[in-house]
Amino acid sequence: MKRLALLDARQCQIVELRFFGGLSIEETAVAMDISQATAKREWATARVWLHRTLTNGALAP
Amino acid sequence: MTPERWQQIKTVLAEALEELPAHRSAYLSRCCAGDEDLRREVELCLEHERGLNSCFLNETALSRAASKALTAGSVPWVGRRVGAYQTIELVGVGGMGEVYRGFRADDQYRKEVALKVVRAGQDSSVILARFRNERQILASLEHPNIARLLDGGTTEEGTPYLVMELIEGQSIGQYCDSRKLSISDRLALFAQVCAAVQYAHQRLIIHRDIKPSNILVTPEGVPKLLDFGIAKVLGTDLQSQSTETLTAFRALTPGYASPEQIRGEPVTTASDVYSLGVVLYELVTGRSPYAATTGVPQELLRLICELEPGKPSAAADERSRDPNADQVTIEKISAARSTSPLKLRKRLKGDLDNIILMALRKEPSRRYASVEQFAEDIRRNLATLPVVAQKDTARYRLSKFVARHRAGVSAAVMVALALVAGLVITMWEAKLANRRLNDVRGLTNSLIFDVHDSIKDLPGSTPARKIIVDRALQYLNVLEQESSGDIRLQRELATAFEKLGSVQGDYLENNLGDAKGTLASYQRALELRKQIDSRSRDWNDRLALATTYRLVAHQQWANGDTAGARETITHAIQLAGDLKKQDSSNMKIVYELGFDDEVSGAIGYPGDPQERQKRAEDYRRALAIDELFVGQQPDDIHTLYGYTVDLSEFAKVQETFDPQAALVNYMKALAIDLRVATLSNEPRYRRSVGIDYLTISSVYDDLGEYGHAAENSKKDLEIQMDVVRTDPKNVMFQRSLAIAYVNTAGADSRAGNISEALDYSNKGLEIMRPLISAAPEQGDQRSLCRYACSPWNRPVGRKTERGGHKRVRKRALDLSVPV
Repeated sequence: MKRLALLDARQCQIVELRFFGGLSIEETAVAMDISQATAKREWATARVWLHRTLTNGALAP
Repeated sequence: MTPERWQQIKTVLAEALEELPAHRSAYLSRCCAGDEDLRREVELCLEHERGLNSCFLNETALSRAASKALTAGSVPWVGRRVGAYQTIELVGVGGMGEVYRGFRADDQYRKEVALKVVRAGQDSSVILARFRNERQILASLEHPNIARLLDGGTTEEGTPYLVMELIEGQSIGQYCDSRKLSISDRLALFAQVCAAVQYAHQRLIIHRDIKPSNILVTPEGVPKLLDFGIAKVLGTDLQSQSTETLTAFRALTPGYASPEQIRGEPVTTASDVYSLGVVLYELVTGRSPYAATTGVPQELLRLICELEPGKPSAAADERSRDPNADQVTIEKISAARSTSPLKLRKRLKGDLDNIILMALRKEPSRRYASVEQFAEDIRRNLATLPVVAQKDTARYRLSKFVARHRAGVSAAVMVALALVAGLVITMWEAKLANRRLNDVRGLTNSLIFDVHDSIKDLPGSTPARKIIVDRALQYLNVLEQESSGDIRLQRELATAFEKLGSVQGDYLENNLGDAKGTLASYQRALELRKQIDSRSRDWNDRLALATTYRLVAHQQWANGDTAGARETITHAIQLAGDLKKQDSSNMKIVYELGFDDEVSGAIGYPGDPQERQKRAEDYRRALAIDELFVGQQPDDIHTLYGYTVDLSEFAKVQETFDPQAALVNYMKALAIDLRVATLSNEPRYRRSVGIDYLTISSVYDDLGEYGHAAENSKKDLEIQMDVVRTDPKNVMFQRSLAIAYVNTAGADSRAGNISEALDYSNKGLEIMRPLISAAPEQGDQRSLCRYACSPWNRPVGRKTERGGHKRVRKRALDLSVPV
């Protein structure tokens, strides 16, 4: 998460709200004042990134 | 990877994810043309995406941690030794670990106990530290309805455990249902629970985790509260918890937690009121106030914070809203209460609805102010008396209205003030228990000063101020009883008593006229300061003791006990003098000594033939210190003003044996006051310039220099006229103007300006007439009129002016005599 925060603070916040806070996409969008489509896109790519990071270690430099 | 690169990858990846898998390759060729590295990155991501389990991150941390904590492997410890205890059987499993029946292995009586083994949660050393902090307090809870905490420690492996009185019984809900207790029987049982909670609150202990499984009823029908204050020891009190595991515990039994606990706000006695409200709601209706929950913890948490629960009478009426989750019918619920659905609804409707919903209000300050009040309403309901709880309407709306229109009519102001006071007091009460006597000074300040000061200048606020002071005194009394041995708390308390005293009736403050109360408060502060000083080696404590001696002395003098005041101030001077010998450059000490000398001078030396000299000496010392400070801060208004006050007081003493020297000092004071008046626009500083002129005028008058006397008195008159213009309705300003007229009249008549003098006398009396009819009881106003007669008691001036004399004299005499 810390690495994600360095890479993309907004995305990190979305993961916090969704995963740790239990908010839905809609609520996350409201909470962060972004569109639902954006929230969804950010969430989808963050999941991929986290999965890749957690399973493979860091992404190729 | 740089953030910029990730933004690139992310954009392409997001687009690719929205394409059908079959089209992604073509899409990537288009987007990443010329950047093969980007394409490789995105493709790698896409591969991961295909490998993603649908659960990955979609199941929240909360529910994961909760289930993990529940299934955390734990081998039951039946039959083994835990500390000095031997476990016999497992009697329960909770979120934090297991509970065993056990006995003290080395005890010949083999008294059985409950052993709570703490598996999950925090670092055991933290728990142990908290336990040590709380143990004294929790062990002091001796109440027939509270299960006692007996012991605690850690096993050899470092697992913390708590030993409690073993209670055999059913949870309160099961007990009531199994015996088909009626609503009234349930209420009576519940009132006993409230008494136990109230008992703990009076000892400033909050339960923090009241729920039916923590309220057992013995076969004899005695309710027993378990785990008092344990939540605090275990750190499950929902306060300031942010770690994953504890978040999970928050979700385990959230049904009874108050909104403020869920939000992680400070837990107060009102939180226990809330939890008791939920328990009562379920006891009478058989349903949770938040029955419509989906079972998702965060959903329930949200409802607790946002949804106003339905009326209990309506809840007992409802067909189950979720037929799958809740099969209990209203018929079954009524039967368990030995009644019919119709009668049950009737019993709950009205007062019981109001009582329970009042306990369940979202804002702690709008619940019952104490468990005692809650229980009292229940008892009143049982006795079919009217209850305090009202529907959440009229009063609340009124209070909101008044709060919005506080500047309006004075009656509305009063209501608002009373409410503000009530609110602050509730907060204060709650906080006391919660923070256990900490921050006393902050709270006292907020009560006596923030609230009190914010209203003290509002017209008609005196009753509200009295209430505030009374309540503050009440709490200070409680605190004082708890404070023995706690030096920090005693310091705070002493300061609080001093501040309270100044508000009650210290004439230097805008006070409530309770001079005796002030002295009592100051004396209690003094007792505390003495105790502190006897155990502390800190010079600050000794200096504070000197200050308090001075406050007491000054108030004794103001209350007429000159001999007592003289005796008290000697202690202050002695202490401050000793301190100064140790550290002569410390300004705090030097300043205190100055104040002491000043008060000493004011008090005088009753029965001492050398009295005047001694007083003059006191003032000289005080002035020397004042001059030191004036030298350091030549433009500080308060320093300068303090100096001129002492200078005038000194001159007053001097006047009795050396009027010429006194005159010089009065003029010096005048010069400084003139400077102060140019530094500040406040009318009080202009008035004091006027008073300087008046004083100088009267010294000249005594010396027989009437011309100078009249001249100076007219300067005072000019100033007082100006001051009245700034605030024509101010009675004090008007009186000063009248005094100036009367004084000028006297000086002018002696200087031979009879017709002018007559004119001044008349003007002075014109001002006094309405003041006297507005406050006929004020003797000082009448004395002023008698003084206005004095120039005209003997015939002066030419014959033609004599008629004027008589008329003025008669007018003044008429006003000076009460009707």
